[in-house]
Amino acid sequence: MKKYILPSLAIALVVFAVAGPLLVPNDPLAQNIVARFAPVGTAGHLLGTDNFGRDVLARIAAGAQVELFTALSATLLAMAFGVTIGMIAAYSRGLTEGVLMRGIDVMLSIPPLILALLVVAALGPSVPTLIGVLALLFTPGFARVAYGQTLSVRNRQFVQAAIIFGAPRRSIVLGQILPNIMAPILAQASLTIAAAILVGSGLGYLGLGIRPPAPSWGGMVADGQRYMSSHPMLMIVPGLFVVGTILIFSALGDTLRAQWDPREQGGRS
Amino acid sequence: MRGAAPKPDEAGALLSVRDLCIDFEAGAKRKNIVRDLSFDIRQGETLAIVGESGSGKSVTALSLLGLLGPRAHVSGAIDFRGDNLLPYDFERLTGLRGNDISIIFQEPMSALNPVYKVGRQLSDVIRNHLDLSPAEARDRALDLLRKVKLPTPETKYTQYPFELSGGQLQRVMIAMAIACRPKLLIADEPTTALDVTVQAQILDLLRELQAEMGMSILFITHDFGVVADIADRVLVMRHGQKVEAGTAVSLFANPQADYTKLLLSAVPSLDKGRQAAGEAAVEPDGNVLEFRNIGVTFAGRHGEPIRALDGIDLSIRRNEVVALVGESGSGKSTLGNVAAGLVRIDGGEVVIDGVARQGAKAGGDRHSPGVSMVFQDANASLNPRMRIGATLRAALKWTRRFKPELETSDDYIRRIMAEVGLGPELFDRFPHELSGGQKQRVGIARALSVKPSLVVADEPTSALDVSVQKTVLELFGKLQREHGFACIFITHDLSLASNISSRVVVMNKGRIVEQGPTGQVLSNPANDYTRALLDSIPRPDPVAQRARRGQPA
Amino acid sequence: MELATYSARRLLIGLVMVVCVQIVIFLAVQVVPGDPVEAMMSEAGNVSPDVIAAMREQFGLDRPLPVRLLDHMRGLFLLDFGTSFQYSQPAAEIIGSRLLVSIELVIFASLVGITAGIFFGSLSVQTRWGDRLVSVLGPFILSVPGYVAGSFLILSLSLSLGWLPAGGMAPISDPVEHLRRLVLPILTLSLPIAATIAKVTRYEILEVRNQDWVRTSRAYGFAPRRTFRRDILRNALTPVLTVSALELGGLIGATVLVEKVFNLPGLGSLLVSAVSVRDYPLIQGAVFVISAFYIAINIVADIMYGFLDPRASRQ
Repeated sequence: MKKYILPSLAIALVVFAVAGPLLVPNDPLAQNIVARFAPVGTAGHLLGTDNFGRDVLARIAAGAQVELFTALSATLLAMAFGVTIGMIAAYSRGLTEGVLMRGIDVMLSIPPLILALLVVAALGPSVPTLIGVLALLFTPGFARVAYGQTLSVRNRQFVQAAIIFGAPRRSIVLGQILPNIMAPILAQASLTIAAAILVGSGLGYLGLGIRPPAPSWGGMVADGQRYMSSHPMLMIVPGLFVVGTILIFSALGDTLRAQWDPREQGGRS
Repeated sequence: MRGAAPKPDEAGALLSVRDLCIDFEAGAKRKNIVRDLSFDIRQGETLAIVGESGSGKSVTALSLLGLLGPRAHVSGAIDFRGDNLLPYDFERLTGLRGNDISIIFQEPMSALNPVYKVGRQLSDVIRNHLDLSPAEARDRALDLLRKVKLPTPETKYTQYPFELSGGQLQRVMIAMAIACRPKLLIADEPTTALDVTVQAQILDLLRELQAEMGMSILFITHDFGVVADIADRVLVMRHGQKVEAGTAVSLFANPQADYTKLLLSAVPSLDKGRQAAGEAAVEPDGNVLEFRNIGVTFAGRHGEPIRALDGIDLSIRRNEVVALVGESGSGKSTLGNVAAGLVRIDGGEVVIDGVARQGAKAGGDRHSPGVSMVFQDANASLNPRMRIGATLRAALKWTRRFKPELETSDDYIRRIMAEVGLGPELFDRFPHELSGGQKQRVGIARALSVKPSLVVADEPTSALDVSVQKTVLELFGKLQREHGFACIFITHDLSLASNISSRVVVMNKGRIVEQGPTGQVLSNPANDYTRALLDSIPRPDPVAQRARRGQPA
Repeated sequence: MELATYSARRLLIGLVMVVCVQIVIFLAVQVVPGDPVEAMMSEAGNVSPDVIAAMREQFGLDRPLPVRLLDHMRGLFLLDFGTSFQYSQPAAEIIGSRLLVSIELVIFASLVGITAGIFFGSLSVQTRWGDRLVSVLGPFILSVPGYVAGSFLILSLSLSLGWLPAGGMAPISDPVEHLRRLVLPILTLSLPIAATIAKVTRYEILEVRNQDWVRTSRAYGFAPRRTFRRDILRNALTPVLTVSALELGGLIGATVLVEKVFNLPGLGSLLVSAVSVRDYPLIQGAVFVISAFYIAINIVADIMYGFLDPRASRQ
């Protein structure tokens, strides 16, 4: 029973991101100067209002949509590209392997946030750009994992057996190798979602996320910081959501990774 | 011949174990590993504890020095020179470890810290118990290295463990163990991971040191040949309990317990093989496999080319069983892999079933559908995520692309499984639910199901217990006779080879040094290396072993 | 002297990497739409095309790409990044003036973070409460982005409790104030590092603890402390080193954020502002310094790895 808590929370978050803005009655962009800085728990504004009188909960829900959507899409893209690159490199060896892995190394030589900063600033902040740059950032991570895993599985005897018994190459890659490397890749995916939210909201904080007045969690923390001394809640609420979301996804990733590790040693008789 | 070994002291035992019980905590439960074990070791004698995996022999050895960790619960009495070591007293144990009682382990490659130099680690042990300056300790260490006959000790002193071979590292371990002149040396399967020629040297060394220093040895092993070679007395263990004990001579000549008889009968014997020389091979007609001047080169650790196979010429006829024998690094596995199409040759020709598979005249596919393989590690050779039935079906479906007449129905699969002694209920199980012997049967079933003309069996039984080995080998032999396929049987164990093959091929350093009918090669080896190999194999007969060493029984 | 060859090779690879990164950055920044002159002029309203063309010429933007690239690379070797569009001063000077704060942050944060990480990692293996601390607090800390942690720290330790200043920076001539203002930023930066290092240290110690040579060490009567130090920790530290070098990339990024949170005049905040107006020389100069530093640290880490693990340099 306990092992379903984390996945359920993660799914709940995704549902909130997708359906939230529809469920919350207030418009995240609607300003209401009269009702500004309403404290948490006010009727009609569950999490209060900000300096422009906009409903915080509505903005959180809208922000969730953006953050989670970018994080999930970026992760899926990074996984598709990264795993393919990693598997190709591990399987072909020789020159292809060298070129691909050196390329990955060069990409990893650039501090991630710096790269993100440059690309976003150059192309202008928008959701597709954000997804693109995040996918770019996290592809090497997947490539590394897929590469290492494929190399080790490829040399295992049941793969050699498949080759000997005449399995066509496609069957080997898809049927023998891929299922045996999926577990660490899924773990990496979960951790990447967490990292994507971290970097994505960080860009929002720097003002390089999506353009205002559309809400982003990082941007909300940045705005809230200006009123920190008088109305700290404006900063704390979005901060907590960021932390909570990252926590759930990284815990999920960690448990997936832990589950994969001992399993390999558990199959002894 | 050196002076005769000091006779074991009848009067008082050096080590006396009574009613030893060892339990391990696993979560909330306690698992019993050793129960009611009692034995003595007298001064200057060698006691061998022999058993299969799971018998508790290693655990017993480790318990003497309290090395089992916090989850172990040890009760009973361990009496060493009048002191009961139980319950464990950390101070006393620290004083004994490496000092009065030493221990050497099975895997010499990982027994030393890889980031410190070998000499430094040896000196540290010396200085730990003896009060010597660094320079004195270094001299003492070099003396010890010479004593254990390590070549070029001054150079080795400054090297790291990964720069030494297994045999050399084991000598270093022995040097460490005798540094403080222990009364008792515990040897936990010290030669299992070594080549048979190196094993013979290490056993000789241990005997010499024992004769010189008068120390007792507790030798743990699963190999009866080694027992016959080195033990004065023997203790047989099974599932944590004593089965039988006695002097080596009497145990081999007259085993009392059924289990002991079973184990002894399962030991492959060279002499049986020699006698079976006359057995005719099945009618040979046409060559299943031809290797002409095969060469294979790999890239070594520093990028330098290593010649794994050089100038190999070999032919195998239909239904012929050929044993391919060699030590580690001889190239025997590589040769098997070439036959299976896993390795690319860089010179020569490979012809299987009349079709050129590698070499000048070869077409595209290295792999021949007429060749299948049985692996050494049955566990690793099965996809852990596929059920048994699915694995077998996959092999059939893949091969059917080349052999359309092959049956692939589930019925056929179940029939094959029954033939190798696997019940139909295992069809839907995963590999981790089967025992080692069962997994190996699956490997055999898979290899046979595709109706091969040649089976490459790469050390198929070395990972199995001795009792299981015998049954699996008999099964394999029976299937070979019934189904009719040629076989390359790769092994490092000449005694095993002698029992199953009609022809023996001996390899060393990538070359074939000798080949011929089994009986002839074993009784009358033409090549020096073959002779050395034969001489190193300890026979499971203490009287004969002693005679070979020129010592009184 | 295999170690020397190994080190030399690593250095060479590093230099090549730096050059590659620079080329990539240069092309990326230049090839992208948007023009610095236009960006600057857009605020000034209607400007005649002649003025724009003149400014372009002044900044050398009218020359073809390969020429500019070559010029740029040549300048790099002399550490001349060109003249900033915004400030009309040599970019190198501007960057130099902001280097100090960033370097202090990065160096102190890594030292504190790595030391604390190894300490708590070792502790978590040896005591029950240490274990609980690391396994509960660790993942939590890692889920808190630098800007959130920083602002929360300001809120709690600075505004509510008034122990430490809330931001801004004092010059080095006033060392006490200067250092006081670094405390919170360094704390913010070192927490995630300590958490990661603790996790890795713990994992590696548990792995190494089961190795055969540890058993040998115990079997020969060495004191447990000694066994821990020489046979467990020493071997566990090599992978920890690799992870530390990787962490540095994240640290540099986090520094950019933290400089904004605490309003510190460092290289990161310079980069952010340069990027928004496309001040090419400043951007490229800053990125050069940052990536060179990062690659240099990785080379040092590689060399230290070769030093710590004899198998690496001799195989």
